[in-house]
Amino acid sequence: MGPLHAYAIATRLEQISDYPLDLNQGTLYPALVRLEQKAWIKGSWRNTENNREAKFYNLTKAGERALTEKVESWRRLAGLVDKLLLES
Amino acid sequence: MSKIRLFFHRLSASFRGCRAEADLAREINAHLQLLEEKFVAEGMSPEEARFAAKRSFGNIEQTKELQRDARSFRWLTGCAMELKLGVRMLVRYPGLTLVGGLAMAFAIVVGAGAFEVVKRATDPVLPLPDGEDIVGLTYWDRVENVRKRASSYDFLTWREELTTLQNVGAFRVLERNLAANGGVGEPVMVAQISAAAFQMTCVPPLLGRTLVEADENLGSPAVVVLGHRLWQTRFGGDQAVVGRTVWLGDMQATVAGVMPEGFAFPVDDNLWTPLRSGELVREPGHDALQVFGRLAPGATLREAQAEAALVAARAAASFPDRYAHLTPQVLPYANAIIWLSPDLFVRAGVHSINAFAVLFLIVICGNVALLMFARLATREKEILVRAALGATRGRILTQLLVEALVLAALAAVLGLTLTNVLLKAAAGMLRAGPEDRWPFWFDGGLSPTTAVYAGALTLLAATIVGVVPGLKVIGRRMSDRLRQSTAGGGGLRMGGVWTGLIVAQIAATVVFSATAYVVHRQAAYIASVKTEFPAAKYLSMRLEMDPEGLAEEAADTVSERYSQRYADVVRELERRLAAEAAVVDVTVAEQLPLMPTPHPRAIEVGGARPGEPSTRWTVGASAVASNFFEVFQMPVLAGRSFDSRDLNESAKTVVVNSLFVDRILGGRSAIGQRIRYESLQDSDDSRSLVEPGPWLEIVGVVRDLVPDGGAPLNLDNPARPRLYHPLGASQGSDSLYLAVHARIDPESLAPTLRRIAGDVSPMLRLHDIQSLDRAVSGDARVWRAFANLIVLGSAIVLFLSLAGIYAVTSFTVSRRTREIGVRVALGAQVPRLIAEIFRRPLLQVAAGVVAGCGLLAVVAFARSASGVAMARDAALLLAYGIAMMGVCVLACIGPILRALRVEPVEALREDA
Repeated sequence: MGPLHAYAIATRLEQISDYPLDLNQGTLYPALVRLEQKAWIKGSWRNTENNREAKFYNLTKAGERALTEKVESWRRLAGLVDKLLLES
Repeated sequence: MSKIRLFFHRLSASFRGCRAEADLAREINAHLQLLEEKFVAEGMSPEEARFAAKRSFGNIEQTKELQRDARSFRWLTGCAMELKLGVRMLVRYPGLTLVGGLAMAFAIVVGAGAFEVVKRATDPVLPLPDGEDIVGLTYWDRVENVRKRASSYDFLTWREELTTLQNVGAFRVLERNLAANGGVGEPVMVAQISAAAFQMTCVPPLLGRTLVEADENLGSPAVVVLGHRLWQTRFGGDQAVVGRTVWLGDMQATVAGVMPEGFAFPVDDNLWTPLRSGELVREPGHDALQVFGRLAPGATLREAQAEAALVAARAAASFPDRYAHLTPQVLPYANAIIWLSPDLFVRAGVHSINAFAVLFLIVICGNVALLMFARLATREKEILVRAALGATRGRILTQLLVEALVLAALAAVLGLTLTNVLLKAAAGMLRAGPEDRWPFWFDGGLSPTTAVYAGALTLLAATIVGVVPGLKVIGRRMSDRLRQSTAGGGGLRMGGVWTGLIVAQIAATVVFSATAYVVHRQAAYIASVKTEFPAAKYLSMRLEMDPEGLAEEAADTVSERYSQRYADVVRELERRLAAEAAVVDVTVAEQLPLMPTPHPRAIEVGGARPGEPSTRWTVGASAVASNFFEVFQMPVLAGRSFDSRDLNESAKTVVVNSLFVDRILGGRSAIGQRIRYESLQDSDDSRSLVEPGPWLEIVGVVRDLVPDGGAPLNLDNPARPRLYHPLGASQGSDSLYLAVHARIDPESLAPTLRRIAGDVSPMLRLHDIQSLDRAVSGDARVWRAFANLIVLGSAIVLFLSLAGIYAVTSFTVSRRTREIGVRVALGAQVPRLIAEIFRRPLLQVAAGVVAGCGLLAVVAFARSASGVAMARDAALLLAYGIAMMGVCVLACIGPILRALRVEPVEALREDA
């Protein structure tokens, strides 16, 4: 998956989650600015396929590293919670 | 690391909001357009799609707010706005900015300066590598309650036995003539010091080498190390100075090295010679040395103190008479040199300087707050409207605080810069003379601690200036005032504290200005003293001579042999100088005309004392050579001058001046009268407890040096009754003055004089060579400087008082603009109107002037000797009071003119 603009990110999240996740824009925009300040993503203005300009966000190297770490950490936590639930 | 980065990102985003804001709007707009596209593709009309997109996106403003919160520090963005407003206010009211800023800057100069000086006195830091480990060793005498220096015995014992200290060394400071080979000698201070000092301070030499242990050995060649200042001034910064031969008194030595700029250990020294331990006498009580050392690695001050106490206990066992009452002290080095009593009251006294400085800042800021308050009165409506629109009291107060903070910060920058410059200039001034010593750790400008302290003072100043008037404006009756303001006319009132402040300040201005005048008159009097002899034609200097050899320190009592040698050298110098063609005559005295009398002495005449017990007959006394009266053109009016008969110890004769005859003898014949000093000591405070001096016979009366013109103050008055003693062949004094009556400009004789003195004896030191009139003008200069300082102080207080009066009047006018307009429209009489506006400031000024003049009157009448003088003082005070009233009233003119210019229609429209 390449660079995405805010609208595409929101749509994608809804699609992936099979539409139970109706993302509020008030959550998305602050999240994007935080990720950008952490230098995990980088935004740049480009044109969409319909020739409309939009700000596209790209994952940086640091972002990729952070993503790997976060995924790993999530999996560990999820596995642990699973295990706890199963054993109880 | 990423947290820090995030912090800085948010910080920078707080200050450049415009671009991020535009970016966000653009991004949300693109988002909405993409949504619109989607809805159009699903079959909606463009109009419907636009609405649907907005619905689907949600609350746009809320999204923007949340993004702003994530992007920056919102509170900071708010402050930035207040800051901008604050700067705008400074520009809009330049008068207030200038007056308030300068006043606060001055208060910060006083506060920061006092803090720095107190800090350096109480908690000094040596600017040397690991300077905090350098210590000084002394004794405390428990019987006499004084500090005692160590003897050479103590130094040698400590050096051998103390394990908690290393590089233990000692020094003493002597004064000697320094002459480059073949040159003329000039006096310099010499530190005779252990080589350990240079190892301890770890400062490498600029040229050559420092002193080393081998230099301390008996028989090793004599060497000196030069300080940077001396190297520059006396050797012209000569790079080849190392190896050159110099003379120190009668000792020849080689220059071993030059120390870098700023190195002045042990105190303020620029010339070092080795303290030869082989020459020190290992005997308790012999010599007086200052001992230093560095704490050994791991050792503490407490451990060193305990070890020194142990060594002292052994000494006390061996020499109980000398050591039983002495406690050794190991102190941080600077405290060992500049001693501040550990007494709680002394410490509290020193620290109270800071408390006074803070109090001064509070008073100054109180004044500036008054000005702020007057300005706020003109902005009252703006503040009330803001409050009505929903601004909280806190928000309004924050805005006022930030406004004050901007002004205070500007004042702090100016104040700190000035303090830095002043501190450096003061250190330079205190070290201006060749004999002036000023500890090297007192050098330099502000320390970082003081800068932080000044920051706290700035905050305090801003709080007073911003919050105090602010609290008054946003007081609890704000809503009432809002109603009043819509009905016309503000509701703010000037409180009693402000009034009290202004009255007190005007009183202080009145007293200060009068004091400045009196001190200035004293300076003018001293400068205007005309002598009966041409003072500008006389060269004066102080003569001192080294004791035998460099190692032998001058003892308390000067030995007879030394006195004899000194007298011989002075006589030879006199003889050689008198032979010079440019010299009319030469004389010697303990004290020369026009110099301040150090200790006026009380006398009694033939067993009689003055009628009133509170008054005493005090005279100036000095021993003079027999040709003194002739050289200073003082004819003998009665009796005779001194001759060989008077040199006999048993002669006990004196000569007096005519003022003595007039004032003390009441014009009676003086010759043959017997007088004696009330006590043998120089200064005598208690009459009954001291033994009176021997009877002395008056053998002559000479004319006064200075005509009795009457002095405004009884200070350093050169016209005073005097006694002259004959200067004996072996005079006991170790410091004499020489006066040369010259045919030419006397100061041009100085090089010749130094050369001749060098030929007579290299150990004879000439100090303070200057013409006699310069010696007088120097005294006047000190008084004038003192007067100027008081003038500056009173100018500042006057300036603040005037600003306060201006603020009060201006405030009154701005509060009553509408009323004035209406009354003018109804045909009110202008003088009556003026009188009404004037009443309050006028009353304050009058109260201040009356209080100040009352205080002056008490002092002036107490000093007045007669009814005439009292009447004259009263008239002077009345005229002065009226003049001060006039000056203060001037401050009201601006606002009153403004009030009278109010157009009735304009005033009514403004409030409608």
